[in-house]
Amino acid sequence: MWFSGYSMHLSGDPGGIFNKRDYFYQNASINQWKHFFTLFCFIIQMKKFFFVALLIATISSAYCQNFYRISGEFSIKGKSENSAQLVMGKFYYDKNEKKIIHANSFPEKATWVTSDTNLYKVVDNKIVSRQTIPNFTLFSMYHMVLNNQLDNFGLDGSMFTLENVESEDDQVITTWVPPKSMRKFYGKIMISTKDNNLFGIVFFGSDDVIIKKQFFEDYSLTNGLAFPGKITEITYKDGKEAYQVTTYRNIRVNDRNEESLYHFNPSDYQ
Amino acid sequence: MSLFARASNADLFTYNTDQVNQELIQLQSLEDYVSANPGITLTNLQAENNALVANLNINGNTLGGFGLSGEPPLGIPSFVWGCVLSWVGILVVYFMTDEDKEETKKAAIGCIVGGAAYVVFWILYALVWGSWWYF
Repeated sequence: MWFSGYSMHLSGDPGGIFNKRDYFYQNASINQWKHFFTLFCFIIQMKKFFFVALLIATISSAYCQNFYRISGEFSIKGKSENSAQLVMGKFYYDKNEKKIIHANSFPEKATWVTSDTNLYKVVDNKIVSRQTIPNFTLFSMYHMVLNNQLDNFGLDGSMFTLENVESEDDQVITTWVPPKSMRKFYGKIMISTKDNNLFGIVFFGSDDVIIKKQFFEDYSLTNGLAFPGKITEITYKDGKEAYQVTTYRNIRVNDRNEESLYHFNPSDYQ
Repeated sequence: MSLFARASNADLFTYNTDQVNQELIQLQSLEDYVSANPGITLTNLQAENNALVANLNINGNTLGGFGLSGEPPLGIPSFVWGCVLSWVGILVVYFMTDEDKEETKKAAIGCIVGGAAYVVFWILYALVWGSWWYF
């Protein structure tokens, strides 16, 4: 565009070489300014475009960041009428591996691995027991957090259906009900969220009596991923209450420094 | 009516923090002690007659710390155990809940429902397959 304009002005000059040159310089300077202005406007427009594109890309990448791995330290303190428990250790979960690994340091040094329908106990690098369990990995809190499903506790897409949504103060409370055929065994579940984070869950029995409450508090933000620092669970049974508090700290997201800890191959521990 | 209902629903999401902390105060002291002495195990503490575990009936076999007595194993409803794993699920629930009859009953119901669903599925499958073959 720039060169075609330049040629056009040269070809339109009827005078001698000096006249041509003067004419060229006079006209060229005007046209150059025009071109400069056009180019300037074009660059400004493109800058706007690139800025908007960059902004969209940044926002979308922030929202669509792929959280695939999480680890941290945990402790579980629980007390019921007859017994108490304290479990401390570290957990590792990679959603691509789908293996929940709890490396316990207390009450004993042992690693518990949930893999598919197996629950392995590993002591001193040897599998000492294996039990068959239902595959609940996809319903674990770690998986739900990484897949941004914790706010509805994974009920969205389950057999439970959303019956009611209400907003109160700083809470949004949703009520989920089981299918009619299951109402003899299960009751409704109510979920409260605060600031888009899961805050509380109330489980009801089929007789509409509260059987359990869970509270998710002290959220921390690691690389943009919110994770609860404290989960309080209260179980109601026979008019008595049992308490369990799970705390999490030193959460790491998408950690690549301890690669081997996220993997588990049973054949390596025979 | 709706105003009353809304207020009561918000009240459901409350608990007595002080009471929970008070109930777990001994375990909190134990946790602090274990944190300050990395590598120490329950066996070590019991061997030295540590006062922190003397009055606590600590459950050493905690299956990874996923369940307390009186709760379904791993927090998974007993019905699901029975429904998915049939009689194996009932046994798992029976032994892992310290022979809790109520939980075992739920697992048994799950087993029956799962079995019935299995039979219905194969009957339907046979009917559909038979019809297709006929035509």
